[in-house]
Amino acid sequence: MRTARASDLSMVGRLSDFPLLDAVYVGTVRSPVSRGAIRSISVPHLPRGYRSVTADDIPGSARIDSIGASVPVLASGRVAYRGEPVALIVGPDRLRVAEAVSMTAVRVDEEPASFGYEACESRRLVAAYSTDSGSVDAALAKAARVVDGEYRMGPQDHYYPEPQGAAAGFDYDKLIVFSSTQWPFQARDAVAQALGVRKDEVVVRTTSLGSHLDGKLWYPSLLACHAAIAARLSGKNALLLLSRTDDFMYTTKRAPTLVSYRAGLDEAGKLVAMDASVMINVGAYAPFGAELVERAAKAVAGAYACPSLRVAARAVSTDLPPMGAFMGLGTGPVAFAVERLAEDLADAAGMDPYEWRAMNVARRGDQTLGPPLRKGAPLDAVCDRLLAISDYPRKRSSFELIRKRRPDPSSPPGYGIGLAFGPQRPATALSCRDAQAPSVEVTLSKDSTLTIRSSVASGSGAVTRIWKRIAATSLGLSPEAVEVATPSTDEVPDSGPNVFSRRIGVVTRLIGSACDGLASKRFREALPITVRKSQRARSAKAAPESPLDDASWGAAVVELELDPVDAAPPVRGIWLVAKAGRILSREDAAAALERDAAVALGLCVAECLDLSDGPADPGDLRRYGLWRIKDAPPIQVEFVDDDAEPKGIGELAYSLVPAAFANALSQALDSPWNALPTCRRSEGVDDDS
Amino acid sequence: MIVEFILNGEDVSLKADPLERLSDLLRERFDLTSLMSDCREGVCGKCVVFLDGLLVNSCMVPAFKARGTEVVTYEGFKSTESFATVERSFREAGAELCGFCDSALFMAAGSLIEATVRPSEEEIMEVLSSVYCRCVTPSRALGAVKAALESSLGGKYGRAR
Repeated sequence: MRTARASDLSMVGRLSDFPLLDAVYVGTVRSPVSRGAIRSISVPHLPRGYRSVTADDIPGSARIDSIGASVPVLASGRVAYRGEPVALIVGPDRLRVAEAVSMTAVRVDEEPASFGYEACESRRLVAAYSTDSGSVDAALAKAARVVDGEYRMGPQDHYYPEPQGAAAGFDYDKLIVFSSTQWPFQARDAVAQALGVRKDEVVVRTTSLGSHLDGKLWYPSLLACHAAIAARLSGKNALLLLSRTDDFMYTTKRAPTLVSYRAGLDEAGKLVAMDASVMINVGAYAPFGAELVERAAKAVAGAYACPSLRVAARAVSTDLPPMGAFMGLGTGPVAFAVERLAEDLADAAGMDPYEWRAMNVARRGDQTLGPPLRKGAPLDAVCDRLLAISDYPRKRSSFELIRKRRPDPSSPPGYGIGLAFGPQRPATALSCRDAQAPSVEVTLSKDSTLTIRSSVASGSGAVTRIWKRIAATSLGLSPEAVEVATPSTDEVPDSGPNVFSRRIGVVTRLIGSACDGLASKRFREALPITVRKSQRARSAKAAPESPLDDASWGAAVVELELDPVDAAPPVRGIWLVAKAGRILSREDAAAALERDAAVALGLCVAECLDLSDGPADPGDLRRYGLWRIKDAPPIQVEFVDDDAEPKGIGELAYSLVPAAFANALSQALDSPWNALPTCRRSEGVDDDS
Repeated sequence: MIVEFILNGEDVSLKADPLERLSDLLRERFDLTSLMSDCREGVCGKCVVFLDGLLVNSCMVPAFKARGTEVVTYEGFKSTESFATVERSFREAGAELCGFCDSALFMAAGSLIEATVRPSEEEIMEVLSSVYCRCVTPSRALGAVKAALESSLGGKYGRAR
């Protein structure tokens, strides 16, 4: 049996390999229904060494409230979704714990549950964001053409490489928590809150995350609380690991989103008005609900200028498990919607989709939900190269001819090529939390080794190599003399959540700045020297800036041909061009975008989850089609030279590929395709409405 | 029942439930943590082992099926020349993996090197697809396996291609 004290473990790679001495296992008793009042929790007689934990046993606060919402650590009084944690069973034998969990009866006075979000009662609206500029109604009334469109994106699972979990154990007076989290300081604060202790009495160490797609943003904090409470009450190290099935059924998913537009064009095809509505199903408790609607609302115009624009974005709470981030917060489904709309508007104007975009793209001085742009959206710079490598203009014309001249208009033309263009907005702080300015620290030791400390560091990978190279170059060291400390909240500064490509967009810049600061002190002060840098908050007096000014930009083309037998859309190629400041490692960036494009395409065509009738069940996991690398089409990635500061590219493929795919599919079918994934059923339609 | 088999070159014998998953048995009794017990339905491929030379999902193999077989896990595979070839090829191709699927993907690639027939690109991708992970860049993984195959042609494992 592998054993170790929690304090001896500076880092474990994977939670599932966690070695602990004298450990207890934690099983979760869950709500059997989606909504209702808890009548009783009947725990079977437990053998010595085992115990149950309910909300009444939580030593500190019974809720986590640092994520823009208040989420119960264990449900008390009421349950808000099927599978909500109600109690814990803690004991030394994993199988006996599982048996006790299955024998625990939770009786709930069930109430009617609601899972739809497209039409809802006002009491279920948990966050809203609206803005209005220009005279939308008058402009729409005067418009030469008005186009309506509804675009939906369904829930999807992050399917990260290891299901979520947490381990916790005491090291004298400190509780050490191992968590696979994108946001260790948030997990630390949540655990301290749940235990009723000071924050410095809790240390969170990050284990390997793998490809998380933003699925490990806050939910690991809940599991960290469970493991920490179990450790505190049992006096032993505690380990909680969700099975893949439990993870699939009960952790957060991509928030289903419906984006509706009414857009007006003038005679020439110029966009004159847009009236947009965004509805987001945030599930129970709505963590990040306000964040989601604000970010989604600000993205509705995409890369386009619109003099009259009205947006109403709403987050709707339902009786599904909490929904939330999926490669960004709220912007992915909107990017899909606005680029589908662009295609529909081009069609209505009788224009080529690229020409329509070129006419309507936001230029310097244009306003797109914010202050005027200092720089225009670089459509030409990005698309010149993209159109050349994809042969988009020629193929598009050929496929249009096929579409128009096909002998049997009742059968689809079968060939499609789609274009999408858009930004990835810069990494910004989450407004739901009084976050410290993201910080990093570098220390040059007496032996001339340099240590980089950041809470969003990972043990290896391209970003780590880039950090080492930048630091080594700045200080004249060899990259081998640079090490990146394992994120542990007692040893690294808070760099904020690992989201919005923050590691490149924010932390890399701070490391460069810290190393420059260290270089200036190097021969003036005694070693070791430590320099800490934090991102300065924008001055309230500074002129407001459009987030698009600091965005990275990209465009994608997807080409497909329908299978004549089963009408499946095999994709023949994906082309992607990005303009994201100075590319710090072209090979690594290209590999990352290629991988992201392949995964994004898989999310479009294979990974379907229907939550219209309630939360997922084990059958949904079996039916959830996982995209395999053999299904990846040829993917070509290029970058536009840019001397600006390096920017993130992590969300680009997830925004662009779905839209380009749906545009291609619409041409191939000669019918608009406005919902993804393609295999999705009637998710989100509220029977009660 | 008593289950006897060869594990990474050593004779082992233990008492096990005949229907216990081989993956559980290897992880929990032998502390072989390279294989992950993730989906437990033979889908994710993260628990692959060589069973009498064939790459199988060990979560789908009941303990009684292992009787009298030779089982090689990643821990055993790491001492082979095939591993060295595959590991070097992945590194040189820049096919970076996430730490969760490395062992399974390397074994999948190793199975191609050990095969007697040289695989086509489609066959390579088919075998690599037996392991599910979102971290894999398709062209890099393909390039790595092709390089590994090229490299092994003149060596011990380049037989009969």
